[in-house]
Amino acid sequence: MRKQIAVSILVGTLVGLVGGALVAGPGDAWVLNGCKFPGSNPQLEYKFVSVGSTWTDAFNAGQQKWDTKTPGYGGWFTENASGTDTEIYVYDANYSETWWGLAEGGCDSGGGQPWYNDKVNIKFNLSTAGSMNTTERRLVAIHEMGHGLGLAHSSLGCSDPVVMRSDPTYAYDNCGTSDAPYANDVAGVDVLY
Amino acid sequence: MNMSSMALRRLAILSVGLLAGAGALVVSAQALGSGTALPSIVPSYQAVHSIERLVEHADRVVVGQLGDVVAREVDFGGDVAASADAGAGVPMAFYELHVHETVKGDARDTVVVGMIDEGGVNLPSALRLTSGATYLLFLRDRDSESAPGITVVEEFYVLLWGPAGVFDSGRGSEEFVARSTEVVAINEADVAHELTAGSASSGASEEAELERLTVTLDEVRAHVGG
Repeated sequence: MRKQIAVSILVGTLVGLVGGALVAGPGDAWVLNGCKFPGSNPQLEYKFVSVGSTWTDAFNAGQQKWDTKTPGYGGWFTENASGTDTEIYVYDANYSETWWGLAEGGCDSGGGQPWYNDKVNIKFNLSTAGSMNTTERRLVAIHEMGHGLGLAHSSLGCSDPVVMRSDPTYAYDNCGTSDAPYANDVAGVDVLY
Repeated sequence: MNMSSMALRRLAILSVGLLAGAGALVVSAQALGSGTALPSIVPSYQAVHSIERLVEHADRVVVGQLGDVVAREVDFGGDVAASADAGAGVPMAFYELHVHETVKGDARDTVVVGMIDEGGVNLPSALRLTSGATYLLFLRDRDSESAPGITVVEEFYVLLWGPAGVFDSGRGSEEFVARSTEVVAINEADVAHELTAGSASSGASEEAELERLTVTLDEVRAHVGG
């Protein structure tokens, strides 16, 4: 039944944004970026590549939140400090642009193709981190991990918070809640995995 | 920054030598994919909802025509150790911007604006600018201290909070349309009302979601020096 609903949602709305067709849920509750890790419950290893404590703390807190909010999956993320064949590579630096974080990966978009080589890069910007508090950095980390899982930007307001807004701290700033990922984000993951 | 034509020419010559290196790194980034499609880069920015706030935080507000790319470089953010890892970099392209009018900041005829280079990656459409087009841009200045990973240009600007800092030409030379649907009001005091209205209609219709704020230059000027 859940799969039937998921399929009917998947064929519902197609929005052309990044790299081709994106798939959106009802009312933009979630939007898929077209790529995902293979399998129904992939165990994702991540590696910090030259990352300081500011963002390792945020990332670690974020991955625990994803695991807690999606208990049916038995955990997503495990650090692999020495391995070279990990799924998520994490960086930070004083990048010149004004973004907080970004996710980077490649696949043939179209509703849930595997990431090429099962790899995603997540980058955090030290030059903008100074204006953020611990909670905001954790929300940014959760947001970038959401991209890694296969979610794209959404645009719901306070009545229905999503960490996948283009500004991941929106809900925290304007709605007074910071318990991301939210139900809409989890619903998107449920469609993917 | 005083970007004379000679300096720009020197920049262009320098960029020729750097293009090969930057290109190689972009290709490395494409190794994320298997070669059949470009990788996607999805940056996340702080949201801003009013013209007032944009003017307040911009170092420079200009109307200008985007020129050609004068240099490219992969930005490793000054992290020398990470620069050995191509995955750590963000490909950047630097464009000439021919300034027609300065609304805030120093008045110069030509400046350089750096953006993520869409030459080797897929970028969200809101971040794609077109050479030859005229924009109202809210910019933040960058130099070797604030952009330690950039060496091909000494001083340049970046878009203030990504798509929020970009306004496309509207009807007539005085009217511009926000790229970002997050920019919903001229004055900060009106933001809460506009966001509530937008939230109520969000998802109800695609048209409501795609509505973008239109501003005049006078409305922007009103917040400069005020």
